[in-house]
This record gives sequence, C-alpha cells and structure tokens, in this order.
Amino acid sequence: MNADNEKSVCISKERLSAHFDGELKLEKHEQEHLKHCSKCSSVLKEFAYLAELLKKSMQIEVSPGLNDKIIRKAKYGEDFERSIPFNFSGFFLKAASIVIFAALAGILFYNNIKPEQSQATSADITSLDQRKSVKFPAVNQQTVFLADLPQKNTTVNNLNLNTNGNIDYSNFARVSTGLDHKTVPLSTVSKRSIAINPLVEHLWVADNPENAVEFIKKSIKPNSKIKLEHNGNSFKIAFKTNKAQAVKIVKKLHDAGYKLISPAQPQPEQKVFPGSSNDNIIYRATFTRN
Amino acid sequence: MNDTDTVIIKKFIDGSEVAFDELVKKHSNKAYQVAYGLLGNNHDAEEVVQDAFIKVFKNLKKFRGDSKFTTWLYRIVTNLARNKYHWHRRRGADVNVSISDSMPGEINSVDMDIPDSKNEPLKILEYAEVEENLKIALNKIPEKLREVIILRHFEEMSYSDIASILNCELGTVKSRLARARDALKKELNKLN
Repeated sequence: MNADNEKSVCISKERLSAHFDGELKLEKHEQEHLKHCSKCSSVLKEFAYLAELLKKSMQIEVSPGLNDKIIRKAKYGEDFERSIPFNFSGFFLKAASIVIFAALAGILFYNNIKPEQSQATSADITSLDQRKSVKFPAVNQQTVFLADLPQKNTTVNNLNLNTNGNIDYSNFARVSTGLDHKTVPLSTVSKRSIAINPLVEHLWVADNPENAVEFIKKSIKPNSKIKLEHNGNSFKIAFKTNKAQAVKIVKKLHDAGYKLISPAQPQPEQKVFPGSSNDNIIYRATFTRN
Repeated sequence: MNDTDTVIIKKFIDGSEVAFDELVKKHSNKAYQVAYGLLGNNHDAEEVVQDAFIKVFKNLKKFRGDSKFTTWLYRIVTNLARNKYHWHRRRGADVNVSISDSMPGEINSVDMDIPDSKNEPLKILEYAEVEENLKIALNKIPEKLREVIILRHFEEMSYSDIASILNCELGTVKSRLARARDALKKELNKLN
C-alpha cells in the first residue's frame, strides 16, 4: 500500500484512541487497514507507551499517617468543636490568661537569649574572624520564611561582625517569632518546631568534599537523580528528596565530620519540624574544601 | 457499587463508625493517586484526599447507591482538585520548582547522573527523567484533558465511569481522551 492510500483511509485518532481503550470495535475494513498501515500502528504504539508511563508514575503511596489523620478529622474535627457549648465569659477569661502567659513567657525567653549574644567580647570577635573564610550560597528570599541567613540589624550584627559572608554563623539560626524573625543561638532551637523550606540550600566545609558526593549517593534512594557540578575546590550537588530524608542526610553528614555552615533548616541539632515527613523538597548543597 | 463497598456502607448507615475507617483504608491510596495525578504535588493531594473523605463522612448516610461508591468518591476528589488548582492559579503559585533549574550565578552547569550499581541503572535514570518530564507535560496540557487522561489511566476506568465523574457525555470523554493523548505527546516531544 503506498503512502497516499495509507493516508486516505487512515483511522481517526479519536477512533484509534477508543479502540485502544477497548471502548470501540473497529469496522472490518478498519481492522484490515490496521494490519498494513505503519502510521496507524505507530499511533497505537504511542498510546501504549503513554499508558505505561502514566500507570507507572501513579504508583505512589500515601504517607503512613494520612489515614489516621483523615479519620480523626472527619469524626472529631468540626463536630467535636461544635459539640462544646460556647461560654463567652469563660472564653474571654481563657483567652486573656493565654495572652498574659504568652507575654510573660516571651519576656523570659527574650531575656534568656539577649545576654548570651550581647556578652560577646572583642576576643570572641577576633576568634570568629580568624576562622576559615567561606562564602554563603545565594538564598532565594521569597522561599525562605523561617530559617534564613543572619541579616543586618540583628543582634549578631550589633557585635560589629560584617555580614559579607566571611563569618561562620553555624551557631545561630533565624527563627520566626510570629511577627518577625530573630537570630538566636542554635542551641536554643532544637525543641521548637522550625519549618524546612521547599528549597534547602546548605554550605558544608570538609577536608575531602569529593567524598561527600559518594556519601550522599549512599544515603539517598537508589534511583534518585542527582545534579552535580564540580568547580575547583567545591562541589555543588542537588537532588529531590523529602523532609525526613533531608533531616537524616544532614545528621549523617554532621556525624561523619562534615561541618554545616548555613543556618537554614534542617540543622543536625534540630529535632522538631512542622509538616509531613513525606513533603517533597529540593536539597542543594555546596561542599567546599576546609 | 461492588458488594464489599455496599456492605461497608450499610454497616455505616446502621451506626458503625468503624465502617468509615474501613472505607478510608480501602480507598485513600487510590483517591490520593488521582489527586496527585491532577495536582502534581504531595501536599495538595493529601489535603484534597482529607477534604474528600470529610465530605464522604458527612454525606455517606444520604448516599443512595445509584452509582458506584468509587465514582462518587472520585467525583468529589476531582472537584476538590479542580478548586485547588484554580485557587493556585489565581494566586500564581502553580510554578513547579525543578531540579533542573540553574542555581544563581551558575555557569556551564552540566547535569550528571550518578548511576547506581544495581538494577539496570541507566534504565532507572532514564525513567526518572521521563517521569519528571511527564509531570511537567501533564501540568501544561489543558485541565479538562488532564482530568480525563488521569482518570482513564487510573485503574483503566471505563468511559461511562469517567463521564459520570466529570458529569459530561460519553462522546466528550472519547474526544477529550484522543486530544489529551495528542497534547501530552506533543508536550513530551518538546521536553525531549
């Protein structure tokens, strides 16, 4: 059969599509045509390829806690709240006491942190300046909402430390207070829930940064795709993962002696994170030579 | 409605709340897969599934069984996913972050796949890339075409079930599916 003939009697894609799905029985002459027409056969092959691809890509499991969450929310969520009779005076008293308690707790907490930071002496500053100089990776401010690089006008800056990226901030973290952000010693944050951004960028210092790549490769799922870039003494690596895995990797790297410089979450010491452990994130890390 | 679902729903109507747990355990994974296929991200898909089952819980006693339970459930999931998709679009927040995005200041960046030593690594990596492209392509085709192709390739749903879920004619499902396959193929070709 020549090409013109093939074209003139080719089966429409709509009919081929329905035939592929088993929803349409082709006419006898169409069945006959299909046996000889390479064009129509290749359309069917494409449908089969797409079907396989779609089926495979949908083989995903829900996070383990989701069913319990659904059941709890459906059964007790709104109905539970509705079943409590509203008592205005009781509500007012409770709300007022919560506000007063929160204010007192805030003052106490702030007083606990402030002296620790303001007690730094010129000797501390000198020792910080003598540390190995490293550059912070660029951070997309729009996606960073809780943990961030220290910025100007923070308590750290009041110590006359410059913020051009030549200082080791690994002992500090930026945390949200609800209204704004504060830079606080890392040791004070491990029990608080601090968000992990959808895009995490970390800078690590290591004696052998090239080993870190192998280390990460062993720590993530076997079929994960990794983006890698080598530039002189530093390696940049990026891959998709989830919150739980990112936390484990950061902890493992830390335990293996790699030093995390960036204050963005997850930090090795941090234990509490909001959201689901299955939340997808992109982890980008730069490993630079010590 | 298949027998098992009928029995479970009957138990629920007779006052057994545990029956609802059974329905959740039985169908949440599939509902999640549909929501994930339509929305392309885990967080939104989980929210949609939660909200869908809350609706089921509230209305299950009124469920008359005219259609399959799953048809009803997927109709709720599809509608909620549609709302969420439009909500994101209005907020301009439906931009996917891709691992292929360059890092700021990155020059001559080269993608390097690190192969695993087992399970035909090249095939796995190739497939990971194709899967990523499929997600992007699905996100680019019109919403109505995406819905129909996700529902069709999910458990080989019949045209009449899809028509019932999407509240449209059988012929519409047929033509949309052909267009969806064509559009998806074109988008995948662009990405390759």
